[in-house]
Amino acid sequence: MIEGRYFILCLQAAIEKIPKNLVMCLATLVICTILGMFIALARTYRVPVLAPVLDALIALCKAFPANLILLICIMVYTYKFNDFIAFFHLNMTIRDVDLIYIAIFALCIVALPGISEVLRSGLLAIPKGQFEAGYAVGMTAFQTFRDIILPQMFRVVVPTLTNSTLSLMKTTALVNVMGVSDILKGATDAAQDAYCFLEAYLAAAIVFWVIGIIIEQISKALERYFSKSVKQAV
Amino acid sequence: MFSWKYVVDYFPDIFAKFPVTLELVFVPFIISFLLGFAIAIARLKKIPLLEQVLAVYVSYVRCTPVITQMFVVYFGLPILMKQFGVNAYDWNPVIFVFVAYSINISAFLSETIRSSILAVPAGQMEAGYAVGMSGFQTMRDIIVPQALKISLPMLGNMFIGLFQATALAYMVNVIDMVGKARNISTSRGHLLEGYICCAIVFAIISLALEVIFKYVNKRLAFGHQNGYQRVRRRSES
Repeated sequence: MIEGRYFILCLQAAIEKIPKNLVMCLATLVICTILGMFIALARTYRVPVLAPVLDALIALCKAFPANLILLICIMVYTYKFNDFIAFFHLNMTIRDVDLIYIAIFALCIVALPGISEVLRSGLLAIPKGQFEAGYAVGMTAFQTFRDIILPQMFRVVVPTLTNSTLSLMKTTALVNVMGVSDILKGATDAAQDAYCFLEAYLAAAIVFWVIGIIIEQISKALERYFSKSVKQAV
Repeated sequence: MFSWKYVVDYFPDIFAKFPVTLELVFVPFIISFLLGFAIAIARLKKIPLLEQVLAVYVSYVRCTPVITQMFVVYFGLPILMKQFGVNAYDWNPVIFVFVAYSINISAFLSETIRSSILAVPAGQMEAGYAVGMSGFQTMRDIIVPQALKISLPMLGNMFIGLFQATALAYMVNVIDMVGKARNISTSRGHLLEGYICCAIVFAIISLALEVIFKYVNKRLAFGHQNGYQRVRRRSES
């Protein structure tokens, strides 16, 4: 049966690693939101050449399983690192680079399609009249986007974006296939000596559960906050 | 060194394990469809106690990564089974993956089914009663077919998600496509090529599934688009 002593041990090890997962999750989220915004804009306003290429790339990214993307990224990285360094004439070895950057890069590939889709649906939800209203009062396209479209879009997008944050948080559990230590790896490493893997995985699951519940609550609070300013039809 | 030649070389061996992946997709999906339906109904009927337990279950599955769920089942199920006097330690690892994915998908499916049942206008239920059908008959003949149609786009996404999630099964020693790629690499090397081969197979099948689901949706989505129209009409009334 489950032994409380080992469970506490694993739980402590898992809790210590929470910042690492949060950093990965947040960094990926920020990068994906910025990149995804440009992708969404290009796809919504059908920029010639770029839009179809991005369509195809996004569909392709979505088609690969997350853990294979992570595995392939880390392996390509280890194979190609020396070529890369030689190309840029840098003086460093593979040990000088923290694997977490590679993890963030790979997580971005995994999360980008979803987040750019969310942002695109947000853009599509803004009536075209809002743009025209901006132009009518003499604002430039950029001004209209920054001052009129973006704030409205933010409100529409937040509930779905927190959903993708939750699934991104769950995807960060996969980074231990790359050898990056995270909550899951912290817990299982602590279990190595006593061979108490059930306790370790339960501890990791509970840590993830608590983080997930917090994200969900934040999402609900934000939703309530934003819906205050919207007039409901009913 | 990396060479595309190996990707082609490994393809027959890796693709030979494709049935295992199919099995990992279909068995949990069918089990969790039934289970998810039962959970959705139980939560809609608001059966006391059961409802709270199911809410916790759904919350656990939604908020924890599938990989931890899989390992909790992998290490926990034998211990649980021992309490009932069953020795589960030498079971085929595929069974643990079936159980883990059934748990995972059933929770997500129950949410989807629940929201689709709620999206069917209440008048449909009342219409069923008005012509003298029982509660069960109305559910089976009127509500569920409409709810399924509404939930179809989400079901399709979930199916593709499950298909891609099976790439994790190698971690509990199931020899699926990824597991095979790892096995080949221990004897012949070139792990990256094996992974790329798997990734290509996964990508092609996912893209194909997406096209199929889009076509089916288009054929079935008469009268509403992804259920939005019904949801809106409900909130207006």
